[in-house]
Formats: sequence, C-alpha cells, structure tokens
Amino acid sequence: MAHNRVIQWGAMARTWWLYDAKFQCPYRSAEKLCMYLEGRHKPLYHPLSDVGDHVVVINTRYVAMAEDLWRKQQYKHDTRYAGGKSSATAWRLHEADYTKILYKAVYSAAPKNLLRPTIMRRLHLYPEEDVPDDIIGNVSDVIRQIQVVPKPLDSYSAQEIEEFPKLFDWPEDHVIYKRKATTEKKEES
Amino acid sequence: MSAGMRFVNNLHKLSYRLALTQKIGHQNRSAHISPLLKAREVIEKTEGNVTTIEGKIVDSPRKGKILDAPGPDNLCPLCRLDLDVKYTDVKIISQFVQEDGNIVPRQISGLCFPQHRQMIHLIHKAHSAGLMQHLRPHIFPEEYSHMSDHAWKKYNVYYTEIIEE
Repeated sequence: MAHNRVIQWGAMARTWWLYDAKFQCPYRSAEKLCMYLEGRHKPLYHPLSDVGDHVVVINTRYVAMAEDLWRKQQYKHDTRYAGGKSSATAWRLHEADYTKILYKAVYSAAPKNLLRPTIMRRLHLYPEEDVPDDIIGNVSDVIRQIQVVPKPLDSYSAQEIEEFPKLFDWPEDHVIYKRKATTEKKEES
Repeated sequence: MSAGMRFVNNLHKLSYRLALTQKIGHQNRSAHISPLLKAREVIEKTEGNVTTIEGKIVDSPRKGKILDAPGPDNLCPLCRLDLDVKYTDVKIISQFVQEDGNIVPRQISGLCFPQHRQMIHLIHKAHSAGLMQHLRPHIFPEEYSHMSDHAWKKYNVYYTEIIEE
C-alpha cells in the first residue's frame, strides 16, 4: 500500500505555479489566479477546506489596462476618521507600488470569508523578472496567459518589414523624408 | 444630380489643385535646374558656410513588392483583400503611416473613405499601445523619443479586440 500513500502526498501537496503578467489585464487574470489559489482546479476541492496552491506572479509592472482605464479607474480608501476619504487613479496607485493593482484585483476576486487572508498569503507578486531563489526553486508549472502579447514594430528586423507585401506604391512626385540623426556624442572631459 | 451639385461636391479637389498651382507659382521660378516635383530624396550637405540641397531621383523602396490584390479595380486595396485588420498587425498599419506618425493622405494611399476612417482608429490604437514607438514627431531628444514619460501614457494599454477565449 506504499503506492497509495505517495498518491495521497501528491494530491494534498501544495504545488507552485508561475504566471507572467506582461500585457495581461489584471482584473481578468485575477479570476484565473483565484482558481489556483483556492484550489478549485482540484477534484478534492471543498469551499471550507484550505487546499489551495501557491502562485508566483512576475512582471506585474507591465500589466495592461483596457483603453483609458489607467486614467479613469478610481481606487478609494476611507480611514473612518473625519476627512479620511481619499481616492487615487490607477496610474497613481501603480506609480506608488507596481504590485498593488494586481493585489487588489485578486483580493476582490477572492471569496469573502475568513479564508481570504490565508489565500492572499499564498500569492507572491514581483514587479520584474528577478525572483528570490528560495521561491523560484519551488515552481513546478506555468499558468497560461489569457491575452496575446502584441509584437511592436521595432521587434521586426528591417529586412522583414521590407519584404512584407505592400498595398500601395508612392507616387512619382513623392519626396522621401529621412529623419536627421541627432546623436550628439557628449565629450567626456 | 445636377451638374452644379457635382461641381460643388468636387470643390475640395479643385481647391486642392488650385493651392498646389499657387504654391508653385509663388516661387516665381521660370527655369528649373532639376525637374520640378520629381525628387525622391532630398540630400542636404554643409561644407563650411556653403549648404547644398540636392533633389535626387531614386527608385521607390516599395518597387517590386506591391501585392496584386484580386477583384475589381474600382475598389480600394483593403476592400479587395477583405482583411480583418487589427491594431496589432503593425506591418500592415505602418504602411499607411508617415515618418511623423500621421496617416498618409487618401489621394496617395487610394483607400476608400470607410477604410480610411477605420485606419485612423487603428493607427491611434497602435500608437497608444506603444507598438509604433519610432513613427512619431521628432521633437524630443533621442533618449526621450523612445517612450512617452507623461503620467499614464508610459504604462501598457490593450484594446478588447485581441482578447482570446
């Protein structure tokens, strides 16, 4: 019966997941992260039992907001004292702390009960790609991104852009404008 | 439609022609060394106090790479191809963008008005998502021209067109 014992260890163990938040919507990815944090992807899940996994999120600095939500989304806070109400736009909150927006998104997506603090303690947020070794060493799997990361024009080579089929040609009297190079090298004295 | 109305509808084209001719006539040049309005590339050189500006005729960089789109000739190239262009398709969109970030005028690109209007929206989205960093007005020094530092504009933006699932 040694085999069954190992199966049980595997089932009850907390696995560690990695999620790359680059160009991902924080609110829609929070719903996906909560599934792993609560343990809803496991067959032995029960809302009263604490069977969730750990999730390590990298590149939280580069999350993407829809259209003009950086300017329009308001985060409100109240200290319950007189004149204690305050609000900040999303880009101001993001400037103060690059992990705050994703933290608040997961916090509001998590179940509103006494398990929420323990769930939040299993979420590890990092603004860049450098994660401490004792945390990245535990990671065994990757959560799939929810959005396609767009490729900017600079990522293509000049030859690749030239060979792409063109839809129209310049007229005969067209003047090609070439930007002047403005690299003025500073002379270090 | 009467002939008079047709004339009024074409007034903007007429005024555009007039403006061109007036601009050329204003220079009062009777003799030209180089052929007028045939320059492809303007080369400027400075040697001491003397600056020489040369209009050099060169081949178009798009020579031999024009796509033969099937369909009737009265349709514009995008209508003939019937593409679902999104703002992330920067290789297509950047063909309709000038060096300073503006859209190429409809007289040159040959787009129909609905496609031209659609292209304006696509260019705006691609710009604000930071996909065409180097196609922008050359105002700032080079270290700032890479990315806008202004408040919320430096952070990543997406539009709901590219959502999977």
